[in-house]
Amino acid sequence: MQRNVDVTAASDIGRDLGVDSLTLMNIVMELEDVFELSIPLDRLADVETVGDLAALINELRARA
Amino acid sequence: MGLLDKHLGYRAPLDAIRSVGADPSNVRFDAVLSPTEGMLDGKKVILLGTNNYLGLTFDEACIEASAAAVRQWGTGTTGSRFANGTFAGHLALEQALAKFYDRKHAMVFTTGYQANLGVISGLVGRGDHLILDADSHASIYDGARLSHSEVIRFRHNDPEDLYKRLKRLGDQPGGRLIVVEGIYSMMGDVAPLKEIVAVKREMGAYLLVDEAHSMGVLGERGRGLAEAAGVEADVDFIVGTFSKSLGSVGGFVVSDEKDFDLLRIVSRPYMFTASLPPAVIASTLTALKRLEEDGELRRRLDANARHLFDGLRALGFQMGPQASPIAAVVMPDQATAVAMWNALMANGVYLNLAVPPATPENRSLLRSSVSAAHTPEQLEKVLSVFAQLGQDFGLLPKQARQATA
Repeated sequence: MQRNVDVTAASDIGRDLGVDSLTLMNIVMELEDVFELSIPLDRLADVETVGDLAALINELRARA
Repeated sequence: MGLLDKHLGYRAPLDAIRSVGADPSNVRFDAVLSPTEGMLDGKKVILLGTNNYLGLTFDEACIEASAAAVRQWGTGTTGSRFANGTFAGHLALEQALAKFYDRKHAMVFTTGYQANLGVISGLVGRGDHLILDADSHASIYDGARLSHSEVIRFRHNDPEDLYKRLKRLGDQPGGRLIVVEGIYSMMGDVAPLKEIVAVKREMGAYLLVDEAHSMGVLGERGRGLAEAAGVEADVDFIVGTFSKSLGSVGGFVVSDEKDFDLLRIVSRPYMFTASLPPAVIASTLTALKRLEEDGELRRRLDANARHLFDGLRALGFQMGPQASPIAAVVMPDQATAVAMWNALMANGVYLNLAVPPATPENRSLLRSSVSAAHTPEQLEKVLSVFAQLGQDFGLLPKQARQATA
């Protein structure tokens, strides 16, 4: 992105962090490895902010 | 607020490409003279970006069959396969495909895109797990979305990563379907199918291989990567297209799966669309016959693929991992790729410009596909244009430049 951004739960992944859908999918592949979780792509449709993503991961962890 | 306002973000990148030359997504051929030559803006160009692997679009037998069919059966079926749109030719083509692949069942769709939508959404649904290669074609991703299944990506061509992600599913309920391609459409690289099959067998999943770019290209009989890798018995579904080696348009799936016929009444992309016109069915049937009977086509394609790939690499261009009829030249950035693409056209060579986000690893590529119909002279002309432009744009390493000086 070439500029500093404060990442908060409210940060919009697309608008504020400049992350397009393909990059987000690649980030999710990494997060799956970090958290040892499967994060199905269809769940990303509801993810807009960093907070949404964190909540999704917590939900999937609780289920596992 | 207009409905199309949400797409305004694409305006700037599009204008940026258009401002330096032609718009690659808006190219119009004023004439197509042969599988390898066309007219663009009054200028003859070598066609090097067409997926016309066997050059059958101008094959005499295919054209004759097509012309006879339109005279005999009319211009269209005006119906879906589900209703009035199945003529004798549609079934004959399905039977010919099943026989070609040595499978019990075959199903023909109106496009390869619809074949992936229809097959994937028919095989996996809510609660099932679809594991696809990260570099899968848009039609596979769209089929995934249509299916409402749980979609997991694995790292491109990485069987260990596939294994890890399948294992991670644990004993969650639902079916598992792995989807890979034979030859990947951007870089022309081949899936490590033997290793992927080993994972599939160990984890107990189904396997679908999309042989769009590998049918007519790989394998002793041109059946594709599954045949070439000797693992056909472990591939449950093969999806393919008519728009590349077979020179027309359409898609298909073949399988030995029990209850296959049920797909015909649950697959919406099969049912709720018009079926292929008789002229297309006829040319495709003949093209399949040509593919089966004329081994020389594949031999020439292979020789041409090596000629171009090895030639480009020897010049010093950065290429993909292996020679295949798809030869992609990696460019340092999008601006150079666009400028090179325009310069190649000005010098009589048409190929495809591939820029992010449609490309693996966000690279900008000059993607070419070679045909059995290209002559060695045409390929030499292409290489000499690349050599000159490569020097002009400073893309070639110093040693290569000195060698040609």
